[in-house]
Amino acid sequence: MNIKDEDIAWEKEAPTLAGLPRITPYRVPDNYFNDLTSQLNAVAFLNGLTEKDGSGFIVPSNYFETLNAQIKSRIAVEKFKSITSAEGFNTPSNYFDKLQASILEQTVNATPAPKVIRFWNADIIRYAAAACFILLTASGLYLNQQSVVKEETQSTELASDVMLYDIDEHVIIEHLKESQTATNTSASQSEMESYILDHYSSTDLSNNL
Amino acid sequence: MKQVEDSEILLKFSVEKTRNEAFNLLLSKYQQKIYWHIRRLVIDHDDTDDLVQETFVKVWKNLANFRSDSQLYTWIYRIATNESITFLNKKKLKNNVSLDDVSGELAESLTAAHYFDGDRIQRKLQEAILTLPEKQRVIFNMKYFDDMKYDEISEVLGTSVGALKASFHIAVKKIESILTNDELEY
Repeated sequence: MNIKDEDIAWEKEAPTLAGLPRITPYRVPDNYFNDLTSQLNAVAFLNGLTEKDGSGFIVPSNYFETLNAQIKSRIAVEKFKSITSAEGFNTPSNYFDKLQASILEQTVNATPAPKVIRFWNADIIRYAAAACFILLTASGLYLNQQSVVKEETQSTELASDVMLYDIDEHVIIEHLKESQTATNTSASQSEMESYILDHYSSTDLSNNL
Repeated sequence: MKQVEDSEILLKFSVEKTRNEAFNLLLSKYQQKIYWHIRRLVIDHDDTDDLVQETFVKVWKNLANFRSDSQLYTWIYRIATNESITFLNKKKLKNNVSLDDVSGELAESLTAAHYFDGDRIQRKLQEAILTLPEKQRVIFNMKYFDDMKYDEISEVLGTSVGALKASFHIAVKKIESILTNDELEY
């Protein structure tokens, strides 16, 4: 299938595209292609220069002849170092046996720490505690008030008792006697007659006589 | 000017005395084609210039080892395509964007006056091409602009002819749709 046949197939399906000129409408700097050949030649030349073996660098004489022996001796030294370093350190006896057990204890066989449930973290506990506090405070205040009243009456009684304790016995006895004698009357004959006449009728008197 | 055959270029290149002459002949024959092939992918002239230089430096370094199991032309195209795709991937990683976003950036660069030299429909075509996935865009460019055969494109990309035909067919339909809708709008 030549190009023409290939083109005919899609040109029928895309007539608009097929009708456009096949150009790439981008600008190129003036004389770009004229200079491009010399530019590319220069770039290729420079690239070739940088890749030439040993360009610009000096190597000591007989370097490559001795290099092989130097590499081999270096390898031997490194091997020797690795052997000595493995046996240069001591470890405690049964260290590795204990180490495994210790690791297992901390990892596979470790018992999980008990879960700590903080009592005070729950909100309901906090609210209940606050309510109790308020209740106790109020009760305390009320009771305190009542006790103040009692104390006052008690203190009054106490005060009178105290007063009595402070008064001399002799004075108290004389006071009591005076109050008793105050109740005894010593009225005269005439006074008695007057009293009886004032308070009793003639009928009462005649009956009693 | 008569184009030199690839076989003559290779022969002259194999001889150290005529190596530079062979390289000049190769540049004369392929530098513009390779330039435009890269330019259609990366859009920017300066980026294209860098990639063209890298392409031909690789050609210079490896032409001595070139085996004639493929054409010289497709071999150079393959180097140029790989350089361009590597550049676009680096740009994507550098800007931390998807390849679609890179295509968006390239489409924006079309609007720069010193880049573009075409009319409205040409701009629309270039924008439509930039909407294609990367590999599909390469296939479309080589088929539509460079007029390459499917066999040659297959040598460049290492893709089967059947897959190339299908990819080009899809690209053509998509671009035709964009161009047709554009005509309706105007």
